[in-house]
Amino acid sequence: MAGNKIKLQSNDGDTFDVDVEIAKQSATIKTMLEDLGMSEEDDVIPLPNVNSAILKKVIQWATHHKDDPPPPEDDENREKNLSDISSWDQDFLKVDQGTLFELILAANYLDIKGLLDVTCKTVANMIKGRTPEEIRRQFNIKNDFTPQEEEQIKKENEWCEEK
Amino acid sequence: MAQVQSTTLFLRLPVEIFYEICDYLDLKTILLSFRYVCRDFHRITNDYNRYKIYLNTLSKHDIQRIYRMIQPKNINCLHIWFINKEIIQLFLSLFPINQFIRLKMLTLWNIEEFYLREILLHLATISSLRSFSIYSVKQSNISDEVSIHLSKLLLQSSLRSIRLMLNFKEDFSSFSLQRIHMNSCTDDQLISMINNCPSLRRLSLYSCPMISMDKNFNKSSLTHLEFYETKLSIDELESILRLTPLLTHLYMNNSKSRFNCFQRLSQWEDFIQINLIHLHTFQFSLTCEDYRINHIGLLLDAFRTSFWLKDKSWPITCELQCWFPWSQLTIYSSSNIQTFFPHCFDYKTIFCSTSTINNSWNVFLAANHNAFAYHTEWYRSILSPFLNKLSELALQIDDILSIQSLKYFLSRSNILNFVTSIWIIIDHPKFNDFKAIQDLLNISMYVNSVGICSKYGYMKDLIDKIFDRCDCHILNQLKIKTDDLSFMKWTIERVKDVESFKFLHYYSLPTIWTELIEWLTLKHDRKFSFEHDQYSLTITFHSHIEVANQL
Repeated sequence: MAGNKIKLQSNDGDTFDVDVEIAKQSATIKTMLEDLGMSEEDDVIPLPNVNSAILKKVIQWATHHKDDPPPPEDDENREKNLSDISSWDQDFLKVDQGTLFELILAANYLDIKGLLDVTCKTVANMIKGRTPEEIRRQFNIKNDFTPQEEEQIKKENEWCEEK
Repeated sequence: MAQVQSTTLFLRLPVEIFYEICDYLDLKTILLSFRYVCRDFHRITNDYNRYKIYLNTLSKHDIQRIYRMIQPKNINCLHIWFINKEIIQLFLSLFPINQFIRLKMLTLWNIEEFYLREILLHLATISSLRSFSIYSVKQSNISDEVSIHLSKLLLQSSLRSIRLMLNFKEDFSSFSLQRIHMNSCTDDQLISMINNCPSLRRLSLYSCPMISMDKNFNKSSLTHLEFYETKLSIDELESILRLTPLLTHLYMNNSKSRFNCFQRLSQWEDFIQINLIHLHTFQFSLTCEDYRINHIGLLLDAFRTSFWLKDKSWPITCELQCWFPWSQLTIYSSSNIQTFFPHCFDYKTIFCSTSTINNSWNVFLAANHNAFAYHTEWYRSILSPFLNKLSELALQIDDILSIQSLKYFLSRSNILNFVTSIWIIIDHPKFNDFKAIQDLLNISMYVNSVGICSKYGYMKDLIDKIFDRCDCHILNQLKIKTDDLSFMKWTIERVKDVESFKFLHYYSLPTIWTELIEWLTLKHDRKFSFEHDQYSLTITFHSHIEVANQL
């Protein structure tokens, strides 16, 4: 294994050589390497929750963002802004919905904050400004409210209109 | 089939992912749309515990609706604007502050002392608060009682960030505070922040006081320091910065600075290398009126060393604004002098700008005051040190009288012997103005590049009339500030004698430049090359260029 590379293995058996510094954008992998005492010379790091196609995309994203500054420490106090997705990320995320959701799951599992943020922002942009029916159509979701629940919703809104 | 799979995947995302998505949605989208999509989403909005409330965006009806849908414990961020008293009273009656048991961020704008006292009283029972901000209070001074409550709040171990834009005079003492924004603090407070807040990393001070040099400061762990309108002398500033060895970010501005401060700052290379070895972001904006015109060149040269430009990548922009008898010099950390040129923000009579990454000056002359005719010598003395470094000259013209005034000044000041590029800026040209502009250009013997800026409806007329009669035998470049693709095409077709066209954009993305290049490649029979940066696209027609570059 090259000195500054590690091998990541997807759940369908493919392995990828990745620069350690790029892989360490994943807090999960960073913890494995640092806290759990795994060294770069150890065997491959298995990632049982990520398939080969998605892992390839994740590595592509992490490689592009390898020189990004780390997220600020007081991030939770920061206003979350929908509009600041870079044009590269916008192009990168022009994928089908299934891939987008798998990227979210991978970012969540690998604990890559930047990727999780930008993928969630992308989904939020698909929701923002739409009616419930438009959101159902956008994501092909079935309206599963019972007639009683529909009535309750109607009352909730009627109540608002009356005030 | 694929869509069904993706739908299944979407609905099976962990609930914390939906919380992340909701973090990016506004309250109304969550409660009026997302909530009513399906039963799962309805349940998520009931349990979601990171609601952000911006009271200024809500009506009384909205507040009553929210009251039915959200429990106070699920609100973690609250911004209260004290604009409409009825709304405030309704909100606080339905949502008593002490019920926000998970509140992390509270921001208050324009608050009355009565409400501030009430809120502070209840905040004592909330142990989750991490950020507390008061942007303004209606009374200029707060009572002792409010001061005491604020001091108690500062002791809360959860609190990480506080912004107090009010007249708070108590000392600081906190083991948890990491960030403080303060308005008009005293020097004793500043010492207490540095000495008694061991976790403090970011400090922003507005109207920072003068510091007694004999005060006892400890070395701090600050990484970010911001001084807005600082009254600190350069000696005091250096004294403080010697005690902040871990600083990575430094910002300061002062609209009433002194030229000796500029000069000391330009010599900070050693100071930074000794005392601020971790500093990587240094931003400042300083303005003074006591500058010495003949020392500006030396000042800027000191900022052109490899330390400033290569090691640190800290270019400096310098601007000189003059309007008889007033003038001021500004230096700030940026290289964006081209962003607005040939326009400038504030139409003083003379506006000169340069940056340390080049060695030339852009000069903007606004002839709308006829001032050049009355104070010719004064203006001439301002410009004379820059004449041999002139790059571009922009002339803001109002009418034929202003053109005559400019012609007189240009001939007396010898500017035209040094300048090769002129911008003409005229919003509403009249018939007589065209001839006067031609005359102006015709006396500019060395000018080989002309730029035109006008209101949209006048641009074609200006180009038609100026280029028909102008003696442009050495003119080889025409510059246009426009976002209109069809006008760019028209200009290239119309002005065939010019070798090069430079297009600057106002607001649009340079995608229209790509379209222009495609149009030239497909429709035009002239060979051309082009280059561009973030501000402009330059197209040069050649007879022997084989292959055009690609964007």
